[in-house]
Amino acid sequence: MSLNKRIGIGILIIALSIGGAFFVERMAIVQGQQAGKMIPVVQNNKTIAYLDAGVIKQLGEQERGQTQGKSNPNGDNEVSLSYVLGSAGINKFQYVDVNGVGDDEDYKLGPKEIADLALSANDNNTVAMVKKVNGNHVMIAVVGKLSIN
Amino acid sequence: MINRKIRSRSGLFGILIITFLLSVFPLVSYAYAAGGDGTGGANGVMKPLGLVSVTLDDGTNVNKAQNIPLKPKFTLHFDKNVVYLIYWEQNTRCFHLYDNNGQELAINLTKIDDTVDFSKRQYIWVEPVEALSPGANYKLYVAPNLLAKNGGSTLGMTTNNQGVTINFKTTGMETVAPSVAASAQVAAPDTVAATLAPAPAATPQTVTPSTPSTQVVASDPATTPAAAVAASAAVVTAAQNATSTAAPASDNNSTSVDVNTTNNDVTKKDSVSSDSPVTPKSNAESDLNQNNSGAQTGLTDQKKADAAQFAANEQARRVQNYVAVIAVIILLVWIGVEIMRRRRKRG
Repeated sequence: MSLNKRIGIGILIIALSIGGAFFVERMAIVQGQQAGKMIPVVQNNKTIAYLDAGVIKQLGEQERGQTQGKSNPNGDNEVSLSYVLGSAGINKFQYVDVNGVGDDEDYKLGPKEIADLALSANDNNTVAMVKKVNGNHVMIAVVGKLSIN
Repeated sequence: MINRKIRSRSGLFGILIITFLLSVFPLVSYAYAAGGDGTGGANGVMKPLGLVSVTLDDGTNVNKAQNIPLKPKFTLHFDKNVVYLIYWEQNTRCFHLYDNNGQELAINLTKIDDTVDFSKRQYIWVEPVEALSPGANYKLYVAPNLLAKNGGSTLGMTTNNQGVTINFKTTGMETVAPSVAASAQVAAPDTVAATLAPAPAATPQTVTPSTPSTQVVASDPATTPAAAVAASAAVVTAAQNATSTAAPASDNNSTSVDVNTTNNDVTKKDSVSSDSPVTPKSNAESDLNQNNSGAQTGLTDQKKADAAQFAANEQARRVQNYVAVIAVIILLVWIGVEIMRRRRKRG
């Protein structure tokens, strides 16, 4: 094989690798969304952030650190929904649509209604929405999407 | 026979080079990640977080500007990822806008999340909620505990733990009642380092003489994005900011950062001004010096240790880069020799 052919093949492999990396990333996002492992936060039909179970755990730690000395009903892997929205850059909204994956219910929540709601990281890297009043009532077992309006 | 020997030797050499590069590459990428993005680990190389520029949407430099529109949208460009979701809530508390009387104004903070657009991770947009008064002086203060994504780099590391104050004046003529105008002295445009938040309206604004400036960071105006239309809005009210003022005790001195319009160099001035919303600067400064002398000593030791650590890390990073460059040169030489050898063989 001539040197030129080898160089050509090398360049082709590099181009395919780069293209493949983007493709794999896109696929991972789509599959993650379908499985509830990647939660898009959508505002005005544009995705403004992605959340996953790891982020929820880290945000929970942050929130506990900031509310030291104050009452915080959230557990180790939990963070309040309002804190999550604030971290995503949202402080003013009319309501939030929380969609579940599969047969899970969808909820339309106003700013007052989200006060006692928390997101909880599940063991399978998905996230559940939990109502903290009167015990941990799971509202959505696997959260799929947060839409802000 | 000879050709086969040469071929096997060059093949061996190639394998050696590739092995060498593969072993060096992680070090180089680690150094790059630490320096370029703010993702460097807590145990590795960690560059401090710095403010590169503060501009309007049209690219106008804000600091010391005299004709800022009444409803401006400031683009703050940092040299690291400052919009990371985990630290955003904390970072939103680091931005404060004060008017001439030291009263804090409500602002909108905007970001574009790095999971959506990675290229905008170093930008934060600040916008006052209500229109500013014409012909008035304002100060935009960024607290030193603004945190980069790596969780260790703070703005205090480049500002001597003092934060950044950006002074500007709005366009138009000031409309002030005569009694107020008589008591409140407006700072001259070139006296940048003014008291950040003097509480009493009648207290004259304390002005310190400007010191020789030293160049810190160079920025490229072309990198400033035109607008952040698709950004998510995070409204930070003045009340929120007031309850959670992020400036620590040592923040009573603030560093004023001047962004030069002509060459877009950010220069740091060690001007002394107070961030206390209730105490005039001169008193606050003397009190601070008296009360915190012990704490200051500890802080100085800490700073020295940090500086030594930073210098060692920088040295390590340089060595890594040299090794990488040498490896690349060797590889290029090898490729050149190989091409020459094949050409000679053909000829």
